[in-house]
Amino acid sequence: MKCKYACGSMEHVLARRQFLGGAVAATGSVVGGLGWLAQPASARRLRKDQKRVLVVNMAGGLSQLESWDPKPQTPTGGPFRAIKTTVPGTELCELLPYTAKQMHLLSIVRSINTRENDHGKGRHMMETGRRRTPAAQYPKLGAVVAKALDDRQSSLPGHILVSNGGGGGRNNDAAYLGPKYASITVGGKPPKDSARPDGLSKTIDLQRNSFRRQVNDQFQLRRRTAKTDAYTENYEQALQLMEKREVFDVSKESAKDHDRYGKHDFGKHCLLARRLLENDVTFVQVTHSNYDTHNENFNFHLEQLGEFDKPFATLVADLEDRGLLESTLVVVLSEFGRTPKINPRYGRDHWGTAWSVCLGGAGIQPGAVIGKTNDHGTAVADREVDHGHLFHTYLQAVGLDSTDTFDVGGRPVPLADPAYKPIEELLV
Amino acid sequence: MDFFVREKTGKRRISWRGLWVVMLAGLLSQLTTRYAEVVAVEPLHLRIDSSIGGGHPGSLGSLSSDVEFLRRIYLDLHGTVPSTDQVRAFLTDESADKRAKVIDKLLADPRFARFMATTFDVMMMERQADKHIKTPQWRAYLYESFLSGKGLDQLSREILSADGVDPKLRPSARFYLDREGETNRLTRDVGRIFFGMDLQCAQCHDHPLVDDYYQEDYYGIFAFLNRSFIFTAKDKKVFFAEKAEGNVSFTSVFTKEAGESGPCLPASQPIKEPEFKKGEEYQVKPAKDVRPIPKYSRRQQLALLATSGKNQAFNRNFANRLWAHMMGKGLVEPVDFNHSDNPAVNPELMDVLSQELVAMKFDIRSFLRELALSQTYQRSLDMPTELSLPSEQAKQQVAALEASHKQRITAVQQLSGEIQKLSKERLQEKEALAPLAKQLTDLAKPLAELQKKAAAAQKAATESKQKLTLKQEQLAALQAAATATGQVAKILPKEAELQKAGVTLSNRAKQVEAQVAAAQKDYQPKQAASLAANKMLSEKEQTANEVGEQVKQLKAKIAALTVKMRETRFAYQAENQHVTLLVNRISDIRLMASYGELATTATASRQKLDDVSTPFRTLTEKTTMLSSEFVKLEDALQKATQANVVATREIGQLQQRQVALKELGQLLPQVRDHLKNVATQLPKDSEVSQVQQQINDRQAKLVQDVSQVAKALTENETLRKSSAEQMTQLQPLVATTKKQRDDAMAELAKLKKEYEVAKAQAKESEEKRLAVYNQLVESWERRFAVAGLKPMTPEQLAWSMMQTLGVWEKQRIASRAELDKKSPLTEADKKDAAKLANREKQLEDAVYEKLKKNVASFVSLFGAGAGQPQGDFFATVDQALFLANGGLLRGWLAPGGGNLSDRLNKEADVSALTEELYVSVLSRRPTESEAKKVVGYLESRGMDRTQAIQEMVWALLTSVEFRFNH
Repeated sequence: MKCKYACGSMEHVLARRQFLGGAVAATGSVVGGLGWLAQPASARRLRKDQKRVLVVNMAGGLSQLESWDPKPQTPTGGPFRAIKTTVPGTELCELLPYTAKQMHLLSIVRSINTRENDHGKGRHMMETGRRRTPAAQYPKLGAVVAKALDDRQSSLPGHILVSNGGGGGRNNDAAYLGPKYASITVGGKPPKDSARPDGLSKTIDLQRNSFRRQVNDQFQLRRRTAKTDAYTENYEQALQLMEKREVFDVSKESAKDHDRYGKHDFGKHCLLARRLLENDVTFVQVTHSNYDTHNENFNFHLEQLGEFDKPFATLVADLEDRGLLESTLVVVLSEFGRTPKINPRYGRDHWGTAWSVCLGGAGIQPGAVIGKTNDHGTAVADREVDHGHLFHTYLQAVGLDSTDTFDVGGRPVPLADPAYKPIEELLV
Repeated sequence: MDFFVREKTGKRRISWRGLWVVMLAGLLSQLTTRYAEVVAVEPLHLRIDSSIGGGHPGSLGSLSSDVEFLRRIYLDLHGTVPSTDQVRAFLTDESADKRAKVIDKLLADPRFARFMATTFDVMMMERQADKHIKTPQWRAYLYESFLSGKGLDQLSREILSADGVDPKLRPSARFYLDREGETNRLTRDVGRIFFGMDLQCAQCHDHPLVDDYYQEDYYGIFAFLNRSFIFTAKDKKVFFAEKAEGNVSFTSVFTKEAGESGPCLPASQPIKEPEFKKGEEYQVKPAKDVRPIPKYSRRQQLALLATSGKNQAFNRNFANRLWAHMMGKGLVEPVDFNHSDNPAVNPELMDVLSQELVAMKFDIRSFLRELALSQTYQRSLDMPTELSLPSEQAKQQVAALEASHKQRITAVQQLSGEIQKLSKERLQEKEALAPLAKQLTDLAKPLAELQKKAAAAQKAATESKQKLTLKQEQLAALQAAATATGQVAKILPKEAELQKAGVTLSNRAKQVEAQVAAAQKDYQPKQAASLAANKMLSEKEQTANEVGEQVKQLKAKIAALTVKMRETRFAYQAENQHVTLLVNRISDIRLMASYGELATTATASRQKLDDVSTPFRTLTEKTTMLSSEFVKLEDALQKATQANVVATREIGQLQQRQVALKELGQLLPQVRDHLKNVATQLPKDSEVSQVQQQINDRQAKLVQDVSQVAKALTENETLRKSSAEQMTQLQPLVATTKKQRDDAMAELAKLKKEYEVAKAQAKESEEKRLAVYNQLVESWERRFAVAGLKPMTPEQLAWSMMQTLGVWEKQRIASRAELDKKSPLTEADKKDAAKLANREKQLEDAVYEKLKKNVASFVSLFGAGAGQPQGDFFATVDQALFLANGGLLRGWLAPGGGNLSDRLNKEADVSALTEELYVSVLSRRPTESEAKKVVGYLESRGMDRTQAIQEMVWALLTSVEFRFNH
């Protein structure tokens, strides 16, 4: 029993009421607009400038040994060599020559132990920063940052997954943060219904919208709330989005850039990601599939990373050139790594015990290597971390206080699992 | 259509109330009896109004207009806006009780049951994807339940005890089965949905932010459910089965305090459970492919106890949820966050409502009817004009409330201290229990060994004894036989054989005697060993019994402390809720007091601004005028000066020319004279005569030149003179105007500062006023002193759009024709109320089935994610895009088949068109200015009348006024 009234102070209780009900704060902000709908009630912003997040999801489970944590000339190391990078002393697997040239911009965490070898559970942990429990649903990283960072009245959605055949549909991954922060999947084409139908000219559309506004203005004289504002604002955002449809159209990028990124899906998706980030979309996730190499691990990684390396390195370099990297967190993650033991089918199996994530950009110390595995990569040797630490680190990197809470319908909910802390030495 | 019988003004209700009073009068305390008497007199809706009125510190909002009421009641009871005809009919109805009539009509319609089925589906399943039970069956079950007037208690009982066995009730198992029977998920959702308490955060420890939510509350519900599991029969059919064993223990991840929990409902004490002998717990024992049935089902208990009418948490939860359905928000809000730091805004009313719901046997229609009849429900959106409170009055009220707050705090602290004390005491007992329990556990193994040993020794001794006995018996028999034979031999000494037999027998007896001795020898130590083992065993048993008794006592003590603690916690909660309420009330009163001042300041600032802005505007005008005057004058002066300069320069040049001409005039005669002489000497020289002619011509021109110059000189002198005069005139004028202008500008600069300050002040004070005003609106809404805005649910939005645009009506006509063709009603049928009602239901079902796919499009965009609470409002761009550009709505908007656009197109008269447009879409008549705007819009679109009509319908449909229920 916590006796919080021990001091009997009125302020104490009032503060609590405001916190729980959000009543005072919410009404106050109606005057200025929609603040509370787009912003965590009390998430303190550490920095003011717009931040973005790019996640590259290596679906299926990337082998750390063929990428970020090579162990050449060991029984577990496989056939590939290690190569030097732009960071003295840091080596990558030779399958990543282009990425090696950008390592002065990136960092590696080599000491991840998530104790989870199941695809679904591993993915859930890496995406939400929490272990899956049957009674609770947690929002994914994209939803958390979209809600916490996206306080602009942007017409573009804040949480986008790039995928083939994405038609702009809304996914169910924002849990209690609400559908406003759920991801939409785009595949290079503009979202559904974002074009005016035949027979409706822009002039006429604007005319009917202005009639709509008049009707609204009159009603809102009687009652204007954050909700009515959110509703009316939505149509304005839709009109803006209709003007900005081309942001989603990757074919508008130059032929030269298409060549630089490659004509395959992953290249196109990286280019689209650049386009979206340049237009201040808060969270973009690109997926590269599939790394679940129980058979022929080495041939598959040769092929897959051969496709991944150049567009990824190009994207990182482009973000840096355009001055976006310092405000964009880049994370390359998987649901887990792959076993050091090479199975009889030349494959590697699921391995949550000692694996790596590469990250860089906003708020991340460039060129760092955090933690290490032992000589054969069979266990974490130093600075063990897991999904929880990483999730806190991502949030801190984009200027959020990861120990803060969201106000969800009068209920305070922590941004990240309160049992963890960020990896401080990785943060700038 | 006799789903329920209803007489106006609640006559029937008075009769059961009377009964209730009779029943309870002898049993309840005086206080409750008094309450019941009040109940008997006043219908619930009046009590709601007096409670809301009494609980509000300010004046209440006005009553809604008829059209506002009508739109609201249709949306709340049928989930759709009224039709154009329904609006018109209501407006022309002049009877005094027309609101009550429409409430009863809507409640009796199958659409009410349909809408309740939708509402309860969304409330209970939160749009989870289908797993084992399909939504159509589940909805049909709910629909039939509401059609038949099933009480919420029975409905909940069916759902909470569902096992999926009875085919008729199978859909009710969706709540459990489609959550995959996962205990933690069920615990959370049973807690939230049936008891209004989201205990999820208390799963791993006492709730970190809510004092009232304890880990043992979570496990109290958990224990009702953890024996249940999904059972898949051989034919793959899935049931929710239950075992007879499985106890619950838990440990806080924070304090490491461990606990055990039997089944315990929120707001209740732990229940007592029957005990069964081992092996006798089942009606049907578990086995492969056999669904076990325990004799005692905890889930059954959950269903019975929750719905008995005695569980306050359950009663309050549904009373609050139904209230929230009608009023837009709960007395407790969020509806699943019921705890004493987030109390009901009006706890007394909350109690009345839950008691009434129980008294009405959880009949949803009776309850909603009373809510709908209340003025509280029928209030308008508009705030009362007077919101402030005189500061003196406010001060007194605040002082009184603060005193009461102080008292409450003291009580809360005391109770809180008591809880801490009890908790500590219980922890001590738990700590005392722990070693004993361990000892008891530790004793089990040696005890078992001793038992085994004693049994073995006993067995050995018994066997040995048996052997001994056998030998002893043999011996006895032999000895007896030997003795008898000896006697016979004495009598018959000659019988050799007898003699021999005697010897044999006595020899044999001697042998056996030795065997007996041996057996005796074997038996004695074994007997001793057995005795020793038994002794050890009974000593150990005694210890175990003693420890067991201690454990039992301690457990009973802990259980008693738990009961005491819960009691104290309930008392704490009851007290603590008032602390929060008092704080809220004080803050509201302060707001109101400050509002008066803020409003006055805002008005004064606006007045000040007006005061300043008038001279400011005048002076601005004056300055502008002077400035332009000055510019004009200066320009003129400049021009005059310029002219003067030019004239003076011209004069100078002309005078020089005059001198030159004068000289020429003197020279020419001399030249002429010389030429004359030359001509005399050279008379025929043509060249000379030519020159002479030239000189003569020049002479003639000179005269002309001289006169021209003289004229020009005069002209320029006039010009110089006049411009000089102008300059003399203008110079002072320019100076004066400049001064005037400069003065005005300086003054303006001063005034401008004043004006800007006033403007900023007016803006600031208006913003301050508005901020507090908005807080007051929230506070009024929270206390139900004014109506709030309720965002339509996805279903309400879809059905309302279909209703408005004529989609629903069109389908109804088609379905009716189909039904009439398939099974025509006879003339007799048409006079049979039951048959007609049945036809209405058939029609509703047919239309619903045809149109429900349209609703799905709205749900996917306007509904929250599957498994998430569905009540929160949100707006996303894809919704706006769907309504702006999507094919579905465009199809509905296209004129045809008598739909709204079609009707409007055919209406030649603009004012009739406008009326139809507003009544159809916004369920009200247009204002004059709105009518003008419609005319303006039609004019601006010229020839495209058909398009223009669709555009206006679209604009009204996508307006805030349509989107929200108000």
